[in-house]
Amino acid sequence: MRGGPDVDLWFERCETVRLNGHSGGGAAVRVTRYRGLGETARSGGDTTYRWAHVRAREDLAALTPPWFHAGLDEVAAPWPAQPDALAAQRAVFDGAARCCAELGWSGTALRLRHVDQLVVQGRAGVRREDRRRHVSISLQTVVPDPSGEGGPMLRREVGTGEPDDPAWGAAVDALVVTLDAQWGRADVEAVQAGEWPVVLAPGHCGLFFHELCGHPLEGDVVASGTSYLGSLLGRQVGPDCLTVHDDVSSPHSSVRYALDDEGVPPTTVALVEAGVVTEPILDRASAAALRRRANGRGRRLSYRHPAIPRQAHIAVATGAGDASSLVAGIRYGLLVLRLRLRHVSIATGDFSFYVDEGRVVRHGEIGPPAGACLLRGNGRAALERVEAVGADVEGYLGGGGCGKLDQGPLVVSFEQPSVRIAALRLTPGHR
Amino acid sequence: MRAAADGRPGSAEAAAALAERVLARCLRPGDEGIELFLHDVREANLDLVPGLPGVLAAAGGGAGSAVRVWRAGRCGFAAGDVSREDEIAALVATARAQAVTAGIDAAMPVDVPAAAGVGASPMAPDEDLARQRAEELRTMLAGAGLGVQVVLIRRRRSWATVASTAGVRTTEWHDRVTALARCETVHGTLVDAVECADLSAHWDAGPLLGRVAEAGALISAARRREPDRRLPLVLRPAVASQLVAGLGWLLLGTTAASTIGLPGAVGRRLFPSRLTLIDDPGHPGLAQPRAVDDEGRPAAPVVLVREGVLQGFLHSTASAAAVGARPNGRAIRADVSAPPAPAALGLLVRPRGDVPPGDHVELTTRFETLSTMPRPGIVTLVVAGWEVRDGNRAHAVGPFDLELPVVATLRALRGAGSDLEVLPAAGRCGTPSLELAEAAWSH
Repeated sequence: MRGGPDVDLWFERCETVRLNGHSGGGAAVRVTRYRGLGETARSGGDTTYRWAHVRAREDLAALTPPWFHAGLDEVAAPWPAQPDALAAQRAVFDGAARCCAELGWSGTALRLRHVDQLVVQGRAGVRREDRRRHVSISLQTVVPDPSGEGGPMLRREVGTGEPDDPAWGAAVDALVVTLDAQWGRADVEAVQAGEWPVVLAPGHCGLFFHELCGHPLEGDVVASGTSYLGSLLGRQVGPDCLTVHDDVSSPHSSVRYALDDEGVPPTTVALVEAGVVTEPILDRASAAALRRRANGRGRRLSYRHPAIPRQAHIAVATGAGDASSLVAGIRYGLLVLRLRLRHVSIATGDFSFYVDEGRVVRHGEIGPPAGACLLRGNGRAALERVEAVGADVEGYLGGGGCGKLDQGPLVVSFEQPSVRIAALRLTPGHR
Repeated sequence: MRAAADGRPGSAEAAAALAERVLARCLRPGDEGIELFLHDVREANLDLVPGLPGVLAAAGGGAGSAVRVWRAGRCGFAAGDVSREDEIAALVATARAQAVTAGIDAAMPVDVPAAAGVGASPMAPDEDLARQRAEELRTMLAGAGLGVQVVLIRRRRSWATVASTAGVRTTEWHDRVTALARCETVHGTLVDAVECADLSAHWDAGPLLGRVAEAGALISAARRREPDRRLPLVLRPAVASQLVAGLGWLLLGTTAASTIGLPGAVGRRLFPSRLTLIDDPGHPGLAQPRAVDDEGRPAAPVVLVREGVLQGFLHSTASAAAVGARPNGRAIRADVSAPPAPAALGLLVRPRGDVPPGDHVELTTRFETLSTMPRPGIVTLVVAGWEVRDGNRAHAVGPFDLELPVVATLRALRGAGSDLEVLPAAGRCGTPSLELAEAAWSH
């Protein structure tokens, strides 16, 4: 690896701290650290990527040209990369565990992940650094059931791209309290099978648009000619109130980078603008194939992988109102709080999601917790049937991340206000 | 890539010598045992996306080490991308500290029989051949009427050395080539794969193409109906393999340890006598045999179900200790940073040559869902196939949802065919067609 004028160098130092435990007990700590170097060369339409593990400063110096050596002492400094991170995140973890215990959730499983990634990119004698950090925590519990049968499983996550923000710990504690109040102890009501109005709650349900707009508009998928949205570029598929961007500059985004993993500055990608399919998610190769400009979405899981087109932060633009106002007028329907993907057919847009948490909506009021069910439909029809978008936007970072081919999980985040869709098919009983 | 620059041992033999030095240097009073796992991997991958002008080729390699230390009955673990003696010694110190402060209850592998590892086979990083194979696959899949989204060729060569103060000394090479295709159809996404030891002499895309041809015939079928759920079901290998993979999960030692009543079912007839399930890492249908697991134990065939009677589970040392069983060479590390856990290495349902009745529903094709087991013990699939009358395909059925509780479904097993296939995309399970009684629909 010598970093010639026609190649891109990519160095990564990554330290991940994981804390796993229960609210009634301690936490197991797992720290993962690595440094690696990759080199990308392009010739005649082919892209060649070579990677190697980098152990120490002298390895990096030997494998890269002199102009890449500035700051080597820092990037190759002994571990830990973030000496205070473990103590700080342990404090957040302990606070959340204590909060759960006070609410009687002694069996709550907590999983915290803190990632610190330093990237150094080089091309044609120019070297640029980018620091990327995020932290997320997941809480999973079974709601106590006086009958002893065992109540429904609840799971919530919260995360941020600013782990040092003093508000982070308070946000985690607030999540526990909010979750406790939100669910209450009401009996679950089975949903009615059929096509009904659905309101997607803010935040986590951005997954819906990540799957139905984001993946089908990834540049390589569009180039392959197999995407149901690829052939609709430039066409109206939804109402004017529907705008879906991929936007790392949003204040709600927990995925932040100054350059993507091919050295391209990220722009805001208008996937759907006022109902019109507008722009794919592009790395350099797919941009060239589609005769467009790369928009800073060449991302890689680690130095062991080449960059490919990936989403970063799906953002649904706001309208007016909130979940309460969007359910007004619905005779019977479902407010979806949490979704889990079951399948999406990229070619047809047919989809199904597991609804892990929801509320029955009856006569315009948000009612009791809904029983498990499946949410089915077709992507194009669902986009067409978007009726209203609220202003109650929430950001979301959590879960394992996004998988594509054999690169996953890659961190992604969402933001979404409440969204009402006129009709989707509900099938009760699936978990 | 220059091996000397990153301090790798350079060969498995050198790694074994390195392990001896580390063990001799690091054992401290109070240590009940130290185990080293030294690992080296080289990868050469190729992605072919129709519509992009060229291919994406990636190659690289690295070394890693994992250490377990036992003190006062507790086990500490540490791992990292390190391969030098002083670095591994530092891992030992970290694992020792963890054993004391936050160790887990994991039994130490002792009395491990001597086992020979599998030697290396030549793997030339032939990018041109990988490109040729990918192009061949793309052309044949497109010829079957499928929209090819991507063809991936994955070549991986690695070795692993296990050494411990309890006397374990093994080294094993692993070579594997996987070709995976992801295709879009009007009915859903098809993901299928083939595996082989190398891309030249052992390459055979025939099984994958056969399954794809079945899917193509379904997609172009003129008549399509709902399945007649009064008929018996025949699951062809592409569908049956998911059910077998589900059974494999149920028979992991870790599942048994966390499932009330399951360990006590050993010796009982849980299934019809037509079912025999073996985990055989040396089966000729698998691309790469394994002789030892990642704790150094011999990975001999394990009979899990013999003629319907549950014989046991797949165990690491720790999972075996948890249920009072003997470890049987199935301790596998998902990667170097993960402690060993039980895993199947080559699940196979024994073919019987049973012939299904003239009238049945034959399921040939499974469309992709994110998970095949969203709830423990229940396999959930989107499938399609044919209604067969008097031995002839009458009309296509599906796609439709099929929910199969693993144990209850296999209790309805009526027969196993002779058409054994190994499905890399289903956890490398091998199975013939499985015939299920009508009752399987109603679970």
